[in-house]
Amino acid sequence: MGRPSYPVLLLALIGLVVVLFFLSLAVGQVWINPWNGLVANGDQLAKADKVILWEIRLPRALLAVFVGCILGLSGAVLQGLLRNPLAEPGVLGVSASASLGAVLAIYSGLTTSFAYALPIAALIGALLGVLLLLSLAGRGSDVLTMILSGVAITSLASALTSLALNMTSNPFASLEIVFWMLGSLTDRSMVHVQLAVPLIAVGGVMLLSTARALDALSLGTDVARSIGVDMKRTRFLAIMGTAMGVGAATAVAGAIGFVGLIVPHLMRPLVGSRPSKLLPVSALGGAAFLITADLAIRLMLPDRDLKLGVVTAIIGAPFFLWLLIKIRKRIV
Amino acid sequence: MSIQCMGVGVKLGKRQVVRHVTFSSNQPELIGLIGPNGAGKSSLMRALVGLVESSGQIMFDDLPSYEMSALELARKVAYLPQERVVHWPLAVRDIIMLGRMPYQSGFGRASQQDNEAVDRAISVMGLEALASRPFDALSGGEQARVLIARLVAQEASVIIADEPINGLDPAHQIALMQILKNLVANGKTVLVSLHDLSLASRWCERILILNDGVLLDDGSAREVMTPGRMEEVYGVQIRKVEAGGQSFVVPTGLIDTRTPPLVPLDGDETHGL
Repeated sequence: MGRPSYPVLLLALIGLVVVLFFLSLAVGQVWINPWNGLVANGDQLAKADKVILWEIRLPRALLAVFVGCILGLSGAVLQGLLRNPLAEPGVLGVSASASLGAVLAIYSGLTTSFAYALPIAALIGALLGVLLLLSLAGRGSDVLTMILSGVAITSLASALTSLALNMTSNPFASLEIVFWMLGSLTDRSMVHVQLAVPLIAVGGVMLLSTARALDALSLGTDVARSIGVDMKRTRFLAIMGTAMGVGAATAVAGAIGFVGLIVPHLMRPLVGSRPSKLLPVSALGGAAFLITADLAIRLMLPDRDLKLGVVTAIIGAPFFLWLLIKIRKRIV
Repeated sequence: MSIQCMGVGVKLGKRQVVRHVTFSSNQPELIGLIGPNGAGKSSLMRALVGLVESSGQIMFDDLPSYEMSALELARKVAYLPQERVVHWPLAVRDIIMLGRMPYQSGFGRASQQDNEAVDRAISVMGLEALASRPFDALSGGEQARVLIARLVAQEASVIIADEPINGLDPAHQIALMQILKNLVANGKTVLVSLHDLSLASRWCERILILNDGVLLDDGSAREVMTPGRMEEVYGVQIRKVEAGGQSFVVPTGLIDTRTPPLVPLDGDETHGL
């Protein structure tokens, strides 16, 4: 049917991510050959270039890869778990509660005295959000309760975020809040990487381990359970994996939308819609998408500090519409 | 291939929907479970496969089901729910392969055995030509066959199917009953819930009548699908028709006012619907 074989597809995507990763190290205000800096000991590199490479571009590129991975992966898992093509990482309320944590850190002025107060507060926010979700929908087995609980948590967190914005007397703080919420990877350090990557990795492993159960869930919860799937375990892994991974991603990068929604849709036709095969390719696709968007920012408007979340939405929304129209045409 | 159901009861919330149901089967046979809407057929079936909590005891091959893990149970009994959905346009073969899940571990690479079982299921159901097609490109009859093929690939000795012929045209209904009969010929015990009394009386060698959660009768169609019983349970009149050496039960009309008439009598379009 003209579909690439699965190993070929995986290798091609890995290759694409690697190429984009190195491109992301090379491209910017100054052109740097990352090979010299990373592999050949950096002897040929000027000192300034070395600093740019190691302290600015490397953390940014690494975060783009990991954040993109976890957004694509969690989107694919949640669409499979909830059997809803509109599901995305934000549906559980994790992104909104992480944002609230971050906003409170800015609002209270904690960020001015301690640089990493922001990601840590965001992580705490994500954790509280998921605890609330589990207490609301943890025992109930149905999908609808979970989605509605997520919606409720998102609304509450957004309302409190707005309240913080509303109550801020310092205009700089409100500007900082607004900019942070747009989502960005600029000026992140290796400490951000160290903070987020372990959590993203653990969350990612939890999410990947739901693959087989998600295949079975294609036939509905009853069939899945009747062929031996432990639904409680699957739901726990999916929710906690998303909370840890996406919570950590939001903590360091802000709210970046659309990646988790559209990447699984992009990848689905390539793997014959099988959820277990969709997960790894959605992770890689998410990484490729986010690095590309981040590169686009630097190339198109290098002086304007365009925010990553804005770009993903600007690319993502029309693309999603195009995809919908294409799918509709095929059905009609 | 034995199933024993002893004093099984199911409570949904505060309502007792199945009460003390006892029956057993020690040989391959096609058992029809009939009864009006809300009689507890689906709840009983779900209890048998462990999807709802139940009282009493359920045993497969003389092993109590509560002593089995979900995977062990899945190798004993395969279940087709009333709701026939496939959420993503999976390929037919991938759907049938899901029947092998109880035999796979970890990341679930299909073994030689799994592939052979799926091939057998595909050929039993005559799906060779459709194996690589996406599910959403199939007709309703083809989809029903694919979902049964998943049951076949599961290679459980007991098959429980909840209203599998719903929504199919007469040709596909008969073809599906024939398929279930073939499964019995291959050594399976098949428990199937049906609303079509004539198909139930024609194809099932044994009929269980469930009403209000209580098992009223257990026997051959000739013995238990009597006019008196059908009137009591469904509120319908029936006629027994002999054709081609076989006997059918055919509902002919309503008996009492318990069931609201489908055609409004007073001109109010919505009344009684």
